[in-house]
Amino acid sequence: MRKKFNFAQVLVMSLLCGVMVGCGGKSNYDPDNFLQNGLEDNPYRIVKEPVTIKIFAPHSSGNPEYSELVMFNYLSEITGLQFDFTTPDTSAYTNQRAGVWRNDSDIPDLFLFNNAISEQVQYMENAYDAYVPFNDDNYVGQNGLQVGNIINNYMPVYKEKLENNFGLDVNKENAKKVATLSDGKMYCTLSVKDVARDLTYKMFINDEWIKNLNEGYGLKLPLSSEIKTLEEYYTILKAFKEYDANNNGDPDDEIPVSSKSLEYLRNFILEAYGYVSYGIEIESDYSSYTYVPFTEAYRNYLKFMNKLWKEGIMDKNTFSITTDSQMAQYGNKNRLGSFVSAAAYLTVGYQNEASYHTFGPLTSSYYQGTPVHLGLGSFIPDGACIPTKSPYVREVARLLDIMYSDLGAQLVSYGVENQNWTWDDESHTSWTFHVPEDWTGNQEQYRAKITPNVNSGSALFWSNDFVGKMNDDILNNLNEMSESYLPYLKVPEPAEIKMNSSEYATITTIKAALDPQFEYLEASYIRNADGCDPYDDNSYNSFVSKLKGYGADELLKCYNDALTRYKQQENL
Amino acid sequence: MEVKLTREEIAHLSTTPSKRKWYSKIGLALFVMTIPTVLYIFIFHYLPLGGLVIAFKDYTAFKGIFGSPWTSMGGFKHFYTFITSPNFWTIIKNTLVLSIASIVFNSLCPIIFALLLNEVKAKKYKRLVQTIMYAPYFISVTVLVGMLFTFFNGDSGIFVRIFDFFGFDARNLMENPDYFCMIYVVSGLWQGLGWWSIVYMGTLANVDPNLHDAAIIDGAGRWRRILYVNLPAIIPLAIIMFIMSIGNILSVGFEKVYLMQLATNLSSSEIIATYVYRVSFPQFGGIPQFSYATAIGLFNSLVNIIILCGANFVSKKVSDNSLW
Repeated sequence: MRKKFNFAQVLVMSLLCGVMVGCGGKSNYDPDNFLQNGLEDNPYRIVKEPVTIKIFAPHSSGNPEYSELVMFNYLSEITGLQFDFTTPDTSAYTNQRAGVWRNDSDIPDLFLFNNAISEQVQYMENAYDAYVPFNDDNYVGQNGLQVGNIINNYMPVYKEKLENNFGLDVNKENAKKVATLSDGKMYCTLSVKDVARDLTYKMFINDEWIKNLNEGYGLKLPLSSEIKTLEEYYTILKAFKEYDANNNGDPDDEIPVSSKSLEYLRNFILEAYGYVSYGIEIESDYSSYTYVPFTEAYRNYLKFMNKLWKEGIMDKNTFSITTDSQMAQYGNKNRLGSFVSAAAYLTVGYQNEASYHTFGPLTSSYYQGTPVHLGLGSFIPDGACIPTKSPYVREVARLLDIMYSDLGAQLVSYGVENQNWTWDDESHTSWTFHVPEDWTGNQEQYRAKITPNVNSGSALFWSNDFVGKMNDDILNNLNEMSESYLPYLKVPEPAEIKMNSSEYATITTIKAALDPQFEYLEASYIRNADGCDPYDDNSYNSFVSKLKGYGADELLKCYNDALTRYKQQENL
Repeated sequence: MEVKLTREEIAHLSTTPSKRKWYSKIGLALFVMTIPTVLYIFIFHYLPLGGLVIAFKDYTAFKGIFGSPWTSMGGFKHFYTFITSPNFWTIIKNTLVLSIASIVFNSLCPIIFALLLNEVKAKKYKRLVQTIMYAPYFISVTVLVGMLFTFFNGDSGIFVRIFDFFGFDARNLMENPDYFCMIYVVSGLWQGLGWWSIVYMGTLANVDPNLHDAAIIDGAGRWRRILYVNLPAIIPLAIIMFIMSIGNILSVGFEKVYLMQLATNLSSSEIIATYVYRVSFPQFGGIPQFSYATAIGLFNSLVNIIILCGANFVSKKVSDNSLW
C-alpha cells in the first residue's frame, strides 16, 4: 500500500529543512565572492554573486519598512548585497537588541545606528569579543579569514576622512580619539555631522516686535543682531510684557518668553553666566568637571529666572508645556516674543517665520568672558558595529565605506541623484530636492520614505558639503543663522573622555533619581514654591544639600575619575 | 411527544460507570481541553519567572540570563541599592498614596453608582446614563491626559474658567503636587466608573424579586431595601474585587502617571513604575540597568503578595469571603 504523508509529517519535515538551511547558511561563506576593488564599470560592487547581509537597526513608525526605503534599495542595486532587516521599534530597541545574543543565528552582520558607547566599553572591558575591531592589524575573522586592519584594507574613504578629521578642527573635536576605546581599538564607526543647524539649538526673538516698540513707543531696543548681554535681553523682554509689541491693540496678550518645560531656555540663560549645561560640564581648560548647580553662576541663573517668573515675563504655562504643538498654539497667533526651536516656522508657522531671528550667545555683568554656547558634538561613536560572529566582515566594511563616501552622504540625506534630487548647475554649487506635486505631507515626511535618517537613526555622515548646498531658502537661512553660534560651541561632556562600565552603571542609577529631583527643585526655586527662594542663603543651601543627598558628589567623582584616566592616557 | 429508544440505546445508556473506558472515567477529554490554557500559562507566565534571577546578577545582554555573573552582597546588591536610594521613601509613599486612593474610590464609587442606577425606573433614561458613563472608558489614557492639560491650561482651559466663576484659581492645577492625586483619581473615576459598575449592575439584576416583595410586605422602604437586600447581594463580589485590587497596591498604572508627570509635580508623581522606567531606559547613552530594574520589580511584587495574603486573611476572618 502506498504510504500517505499526513499534515504533521509534512510540517515536521519542513521545519527540519528550515533548520538545516538556517544552520548551513554561514558555513557556505565563499571568500572568493568578495570584490575588494569593485568592478571596472561599477566601483561600488562588493560581491560577484549576491549574498544576504543581516542588518539590525532601530525603526520608527514615521518610516516605511527599511526594505522599502530608496536608500537601501539603491545600495543593494549597486553593491550586489541583499539586505535582511531586523528593525525593532525605537522604543523597544534596547530590549530587542539584548535578545539577539542568545542564538548565533540571530546575531546580525551589522548593527546600524544607535550603538551605545557604554555597551562597547562594557564588552571591551570584559573581553567578550563581541564586535570586530576596525583598526586591529592582526584581526582574524572567526571563520579563519585574515582580515587585518579593516579601515586600512577595506575602508579607504573612511580612513581618509578620519585622517583629516572629516575636515573639522582637530583641536576642538578629535574624530580618532572619539572613536577609540581605552584599549586603543575602534569597535564602532562614527556618526558624523557638520551641518551648522544640527550642531546646536537656536534661540529666536521677534525683530518686528522690537521695531514696533522702537518706532511706536520711542524705545531704543537693540535688534537681534545687536543683543550681546543678558541685561539687554531682559530689557527687551520687559518691554514685550509692558507694551503692545505685536500691535494688535491688546497690550496683555504678548508672551515675552516661553519654552517647553525650560528645555534649552535654561541652557541659553546659563550661558550668560559662563556654563552651557545644567548638569555635568567640563571646564574649558580640561582641569576638571563641574556639577553646574553647585556653582555661584547657577545661583545667579536661578535668581534671574525667578525674576522673570515673578514679573510675569516668563510664560506661566512653561512647566506644563510638554510638546512643540502646545508652543505652536501661541506662536501661530503671533503672541510669542522669544523661544527656543529647531526652526522658527515650526513654532510660529510660515506666516510669522520671517519676523524671527536667532541671537546670542550672551554674556552678563556676572560673566564677561568669551561667550559660550551648547555644542551637541560633531562626532558620536555610535554609527555601526560588526559582530565578530559575522562571516561578512569585509563585505560590511566595504558597504560602510560607501556610506561615508559622497554617494553615501547623498543617499542617507536626500536619496538618489536625478531621482530624488538634481544639481542646479554643472559646477554643483546647489541642488534641488524633488517632492512629488501630489505629495500631501510635508518635506520631511517625504524624506522619511527615502532614508531612515528622518526618524530612526542619525546618518553615518550628515555632510555639510552636500546638505549645505540644498536649494531651500528656509533651511539655508536657518544654516546661516546657526553659523553665528559655531565659534562659541562648547560640548559639556566631550565624547573622547569615556567612563568605564562600572562608572556608566553608577551614573545611570544616580541620574535616574538625581535628574528629576534637580528639575523639581529648579522649578520650585524659580516659582518660589514650597518656600524655595534663591535669594535666601539657608534655602539655597538646602537646595545644594538635597542634590548632594541624591548622589551629585558621587556623579561628579565618576566624571573626574574618567578625566584623570584620560589625561594619563594622553599624557596631559 | 413520546420518544422511543431502541434496545441498543437503552443498553448503552444503562451501562454502569464501572464498564466505561478508563479515559472516560478520569475525564481525559476535559484534561485535554485544558492543555492549551495550561501550556499558555506555563510558557508565558511561569517560564519567564526564571528571568527574575537577573535581579541577583549583574546582567549583560551578551552573557545572557544564566551566563551573567552573580552580583555582590550575596546577590542582594541591587535590592540594597534600591532600599538605600535617596528617593526610596518618596516613591514608596507616592505609590501607596495613589494606589490606596485609587483602590478606595474605584471600589466604593462603582458600587454606589450601581446601587443608585439600579433604582432608576425609567429604562430609556437608565440606558442613556449607562451609555454616557461607559463611553469615556474607550478613550485612550494619552488622549485623556492631553484633555486634562488642555482643560487646565492657564490661558484658555475650560476648567480654569469654570473654577474661576466660583472664585477658585485653577490655573495650571496639573503643575501642583498637592492636587496630583486628586486629579489622577477623579479623572480615573470619570473614565472608568461606568465600566467598573457593570459587574455590580449584573449582580443586582439577578437579585431575587421575591426578596424585595418580602421586604416591602415587611414595611421596608427603598433605602432599607438597598441596605438590606441589594447591598448584601453585591458584597461578596465587592470583597473579591477589593482583595484583587489590594494585590496590585504597589502596581499603579505607569502610563497615566508618566504622562501627567511634570518637573513641578514630581514630589507627588514619582512612583516605582516611573523610576523603573528611568533606570531601564536611561537617557544619553547610559547602560540600561536591567538587573536593578528587575530587583525593584521583584521587590514590588513581593510586597504585593504579602499585602494580598494579609488582606485575604483578614477578609476570611471578618466576612467569610476570600480568594482562597
